[in-house]
Amino acid sequence: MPTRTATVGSSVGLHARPAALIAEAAGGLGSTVTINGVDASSSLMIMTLGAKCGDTVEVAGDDQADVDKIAALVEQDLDAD
Amino acid sequence: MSEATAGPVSGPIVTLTANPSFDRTVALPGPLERGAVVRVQAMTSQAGGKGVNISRAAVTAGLRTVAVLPALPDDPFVRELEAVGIDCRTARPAGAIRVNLTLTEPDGTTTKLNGPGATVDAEHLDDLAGTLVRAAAGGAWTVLAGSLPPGAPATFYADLVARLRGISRVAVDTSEGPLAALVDRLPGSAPDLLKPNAEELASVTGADQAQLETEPEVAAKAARTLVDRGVGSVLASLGGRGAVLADADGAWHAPAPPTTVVSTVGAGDCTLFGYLLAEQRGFAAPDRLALAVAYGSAAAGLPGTTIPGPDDLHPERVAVRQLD
Repeated sequence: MPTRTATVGSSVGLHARPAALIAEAAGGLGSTVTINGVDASSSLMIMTLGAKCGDTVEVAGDDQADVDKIAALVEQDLDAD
Repeated sequence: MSEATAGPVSGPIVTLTANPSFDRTVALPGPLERGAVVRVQAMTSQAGGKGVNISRAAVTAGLRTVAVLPALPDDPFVRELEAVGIDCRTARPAGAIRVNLTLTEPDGTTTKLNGPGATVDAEHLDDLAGTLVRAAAGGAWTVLAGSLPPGAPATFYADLVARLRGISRVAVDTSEGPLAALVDRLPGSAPDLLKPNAEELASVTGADQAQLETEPEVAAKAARTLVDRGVGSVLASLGGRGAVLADADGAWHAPAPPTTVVSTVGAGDCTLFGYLLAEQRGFAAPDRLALAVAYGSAAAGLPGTTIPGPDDLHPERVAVRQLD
């Protein structure tokens, strides 16, 4: 299964807006992607991880391109306007 | 809490299990025959209790947890919990840990024989309370859940809540005498979170239980009477109807998503844990309720007291509605 380690880039961590943006992107993919085992299309489940800026998480799924997309979002600072 | 600072609180979830039990289950090969000797194929045994269930859920979700209980430090009960990553703090026990025996028959008939637990005296309770207060001092939440052992006064939880004020936030999930005593002593005994089921909420508010279970507005109104008396939040679980959350800012209802119910044992404990996890992560009230109901529903869909993992949880399927 394609897996990537990603470092959280958002200054607030995987919370609030970053979690919502990642969940929205994951919901639009053709395959299921998980972050540390939780469904990346659920913003609440992403938020339960409590991942802070600089923490590393495991992004996994069946499709390498989809995993790369979500990993790239995890690494961006999504809270910056 | 602002969104910028919301995040994991470092302290563990501290649970108290005042009357722990080994939950043993025997699957009988045929109908139970009174007076016979039955040679059973297998007997499962699990360290149980509401506080223990909540600590198990915390470990499964990756949160630190401390279980406080009366037991010898090297009791198999303690070793079983430590083996799954639960930090245990023990107080002097009054006797051996009780056994709750469940007999299941092939046709689904279940017989439960629950032990009473050893009778405690004031010294045992002082030791247990002192151990809990010391553990609670670095904790994010302290959870007082379940029944009390024989010999404990019904006011034990009410007194503990008052003692823990300023030390830790406190959640209480209990019934009958201990719940009545806590409600009698409001607001001095007011916890930050109270998690009654419909029967328990009815018993302390005088509301009609059947109405509470079917009309979320009635449950919210009853819960609000406890908030008005000082309780921070009331999370009332309504079985198949989901749950109602009431606090000083409002009230919300979330029906349980469609679930094939396998075992409701421990579902209420998972509901409470889902709320605490969401609170620790800085969720707003409606999202705290959604995660609580998602946890309870997921637990009800799993056998025995199995704790839901990430794959089992679907808070996005829980629709939260604000009540007037």
